[in-house]
Amino acid sequence: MSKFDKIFEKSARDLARTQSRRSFLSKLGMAVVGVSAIPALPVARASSNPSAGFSNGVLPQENNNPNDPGDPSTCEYWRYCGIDGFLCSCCGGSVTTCPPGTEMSPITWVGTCLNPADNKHYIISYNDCCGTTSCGTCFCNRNENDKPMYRVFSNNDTNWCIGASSQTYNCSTAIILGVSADN
Amino acid sequence: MFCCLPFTGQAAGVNSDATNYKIFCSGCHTIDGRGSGDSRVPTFRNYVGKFLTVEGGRAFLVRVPGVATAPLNDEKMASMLNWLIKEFDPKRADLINSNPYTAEEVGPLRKDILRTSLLKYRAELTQKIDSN
Repeated sequence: MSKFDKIFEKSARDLARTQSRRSFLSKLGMAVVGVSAIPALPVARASSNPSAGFSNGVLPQENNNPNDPGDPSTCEYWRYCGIDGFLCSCCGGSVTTCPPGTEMSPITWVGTCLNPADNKHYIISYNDCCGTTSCGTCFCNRNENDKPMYRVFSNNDTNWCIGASSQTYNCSTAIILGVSADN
Repeated sequence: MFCCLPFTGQAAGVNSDATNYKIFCSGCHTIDGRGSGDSRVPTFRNYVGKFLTVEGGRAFLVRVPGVATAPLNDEKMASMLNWLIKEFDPKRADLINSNPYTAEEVGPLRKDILRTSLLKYRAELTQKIDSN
């Protein structure tokens, strides 16, 4: 026992000799103040600004292309005239790409939307991204001119993730396939 | 997310056959005709023309619900079907070039829509095709 006592006594005395009590208190104080200051830094402030973008957590997305006007993170964007789902632009992807970790379904639904920039009707493919749980942000359901004609699969709405390896729906894109001469 | 098939009930106009395919068919059958990669939306590629070689197959391609109900007039639909076979099954292009679909042929067939019997009828035809 006395051996252990000596070891701990020596280490305690060494510590007391080399480290001042103020040093410990100042470091503890820095840690307390530092931790409390982190939330005040301008990180992720967007998530608490309800006026920004489509909904909480989404900033407006700049779009400087005059031929493709509008903000793809808002439901009003022209390509979304027939969409029904969460916007991939708000979910870590873009209007044409899936968020990381998801896969684009080859099976999709297709419609035409009027581009206000050139007054032409474009053929838009609303490919779904599949593989992770529903994005849950920027739900947009416009379905303009939606005229369902025929349901291949017997008794429910079609899940467009059928062509992907996972049938879990995440979000929807809006990809231009071409121009329609009809209007 | 969830929907049914291509929408846009547009009047037929000056769109090309390829454009009409894009708008009214490519959602399920895909731009390159490969389909869903499984039996639910079968591929067109190097296959669709085989339906012309078995009894009932030529009519089947018109009676499938997507073709029968698409908002294209008979003339446009006949033209698109002719294009579709040549585009996705070029080896069998002669079968359709020598005897193309016409509006007169397509019109009555489109009224005889295959609905509940679709999959069974298709299976019978593909069995005939595969045994040839």
